[in-house]
Parts: sequence; structure tokens; C-alpha cells
Amino acid sequence: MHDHDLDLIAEFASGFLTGADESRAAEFVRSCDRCAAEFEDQTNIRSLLAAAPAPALSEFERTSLRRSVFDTVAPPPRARMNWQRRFLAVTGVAAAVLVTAVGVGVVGQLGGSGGDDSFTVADGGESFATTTAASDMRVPPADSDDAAEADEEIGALAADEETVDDGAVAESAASSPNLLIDAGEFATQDELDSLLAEITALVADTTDVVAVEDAVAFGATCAVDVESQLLAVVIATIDDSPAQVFLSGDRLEPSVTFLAGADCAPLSS
Amino acid sequence: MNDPDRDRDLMARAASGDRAAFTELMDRHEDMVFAVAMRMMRDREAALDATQETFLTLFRKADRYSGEAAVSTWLYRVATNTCLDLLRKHKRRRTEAPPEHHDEPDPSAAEPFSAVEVRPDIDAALRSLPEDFRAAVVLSDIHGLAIAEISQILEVPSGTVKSRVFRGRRMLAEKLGNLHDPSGRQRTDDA
Repeated sequence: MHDHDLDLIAEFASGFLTGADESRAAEFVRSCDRCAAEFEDQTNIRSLLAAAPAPALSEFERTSLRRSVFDTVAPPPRARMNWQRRFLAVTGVAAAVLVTAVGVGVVGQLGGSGGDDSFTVADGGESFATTTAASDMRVPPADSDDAAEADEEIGALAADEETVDDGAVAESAASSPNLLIDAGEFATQDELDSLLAEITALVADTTDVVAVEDAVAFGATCAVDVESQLLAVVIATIDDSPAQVFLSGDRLEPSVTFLAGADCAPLSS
Repeated sequence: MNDPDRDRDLMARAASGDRAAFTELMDRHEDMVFAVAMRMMRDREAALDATQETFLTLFRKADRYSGEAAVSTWLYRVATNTCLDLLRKHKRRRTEAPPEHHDEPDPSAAEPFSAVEVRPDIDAALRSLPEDFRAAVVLSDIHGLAIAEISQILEVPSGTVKSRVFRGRRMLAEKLGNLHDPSGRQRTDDA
């Protein structure tokens, strides 16, 4: 008879023992049914758990998880949404004309871009600020005056939103023979690139413009001059500022009117 | 993926607000975090919630990472604590609400099995363990972490970790049934 030191046996089963302790435990396992049973339980459970297949995220879950996380740490600020609605308010009808004229219209919202971007997250994830400086484009930093001016303008135009039926605007665009893309949130450069590739394909399919020469994203508060012959416009929010991606076809030069953020300028034509 | 220096570099960048670094950290560790959460939580949806919470904590507190422990150890700690917090909140809500009817798997119905065969009721048995024991067993026997690392993660002494792992295994053996007795050997108190 001996005191069943079950923890000693469990240590032995786990491979933690050496020397005299190991020998003593091994002897207990050989000579004592209870110690042997403990050894077997510990060993079998250990093997069973080690062999259990790792649960895996599905691709849908992985994508949803990323989106949830980035939406939470970088929620689209109200100003961004207002800006999009404002854009639609100002340009909605004309945009429908525009897209009919050129064959393609793309309206979306962009939550961020890749490149050398950065952001900070305040505790609680309620505040989010970003800066972007992609290598192939210059991004004029909006100074505080510009930002204030933009805020004022957004505030002034906010009243217009009350009279705008976003659904009607979307329906107007959607009912045209053109395509309205809800670009949603794009957290990475890859996602932006995918969107741009999609737009490029659309352009190639639906117009006689054979190539999209460039896509330029820039941060500031801008609005498109709807009188221009833009081939496609993506309304985007990059950083804290609304931004746009212009796609200029080989026959069409974008013409832009800036409602705010005077430093904002297209970087290619 | 197991590159501690790369992880540290990413954490440093993440702490200064580099979004690409955050994304890469997710790439490198989300499967591990989700695997921990799946073993700890009651269902897949809760595991996804815990995984999301873990990475939100990573984003919010990256600047508090001291660099002493490996990033993976830090993430294991965040993931485990997140799961334990969510489980405690869920338990509090359950005690405040009327009991729900649900059919728990019956561990006593378990058939004898091979040690290497994955039993479908293993998850149910794991979930029946007290949370602290479950965490120790999951980290030790499923994720293969050393006792010293688990001690860092759970912030308890190594002896406590061992005790929880050993007792957790015993509870699992009881839940899962006839593990040790393929030959009909009886437990006795005599040597």
C-alpha cells in the first residue's frame, strides 16, 4: 500500500519528471492499478486533445471578422456619410445624366486605403484618425482652416439632406442602364485595387474607351463638377476626409470643382 | 508564422497606428485566437464574438505591450481573458433570466474509444469543465503550450497551472467515460 500521489503520476504522464522521481512514478504505474489508471487517463486525454483538429474560420467568417473589427475601430464618421449624401443631393440628378452620357457611373464609399497609411485608435474605439501618403500621389494635408471650412459647408448643406430621398437617388441611378456600385468599406489597398479593376472591366465592356489611364485617390473635401465628362467617379472616404477616385479615359479629361478644401487637386488627368 | 521578432516589429508599428501592421497581425494570429475561442466558448457565434473582442483589445491596447513576453503569449492572454470575461457575463445573464431548455450531450452515453480518435463529444466535455480548468487544459493539451507560458498567460503560478491541467484531464476522463479500462482492470487503493 502506498499513498497514491496522483499528481506525481500526472507529471510522469506529461513527461515532466526525470531521475529518481521518474523512476518512482514508473514503479507506481507498474505496481498499482489506481496509479496505472491515472497514468492511462492522463495519457489518453492528452493524446485525444492533441489530436483534435483545430477549428477553422470559414472565408466568410474571416471576411466578416475583418470588417467587423475595422468597422469598430474605424467607424465611418457621420461627416463621411453626410458628405456622401450631400454629394448625391448636389449631383444626384445630374449624375444620372452624366452616367447615361458616358455609359458608366460608379458611386461608392471607401473606408481607407493602403500604402503608407496609419491610424490611431482612442480607447473605446470611438475616435479614429488617419493620414495617408501613398507613394505615387501627393496628398495635401488639410489645414485646420480648410477643415473648418469644410465642416461649415457640410453643416450648411446638411439641411439639404432633409429634402433628399437617398433611396430615390439610388433608384434613379440603378434604374438607368448604368451601374451603381455600393463600394462599402474598403480597408486595404488590395480591396481598393479590386474595385478599380472591376471598374476598369466595366469601362472596357460598356464604352468605347479602351483603357482607364489612371485612378487617383486623394484626401480632401471635394465634389465633382457634374458638368464634366467624368468617366467614372468613386466617392470615397480616405482618412477622415471624403475623397474621390477619378478614372480618366483616354478621351475624357476630368474636370473638377472643389466645394471645399482648396488644396485638393487631381494628380493626373 | 511563428516569428517572434516579426511579431514584435508589427506590434511596435501597430502601437504607433500602422493599420497595415494590425492587418498582418490578424493574418498571423486570427486562426489561433479563433481556435482558443472555439474551445472556450459555448458555440461558434460566441467564439467569433470573442475573436472580434480580442482583436479590438489588441488594437486599443497595442501601446501597452511591453515586449517582455512573446506577442503570441500576449495574444493568448488577451484571448483567454476575453473568453473568460464573456463567459462570466453570460453566466450572470443566465442567472438573471429564466432557465432555457436545451439538450446537453450525455457524456455517460459515450462509447469506448481509441486515444487518437477524435470524439464528437470532446467539445461538450471540454465545455463542461470549470472555466479556469478548461483554459489550462486547452492551452496545455490542445495548443501545446509549456506550463511556464500558461502561467504567464493565466497569471497564476506554475503549480496552479499543473494542478488545473491534471484535474481538468481527470474530469474529462470521467465525462468521456471508459478511458482507462479496455481490459476491465479495476481501480483499487492497494498497490
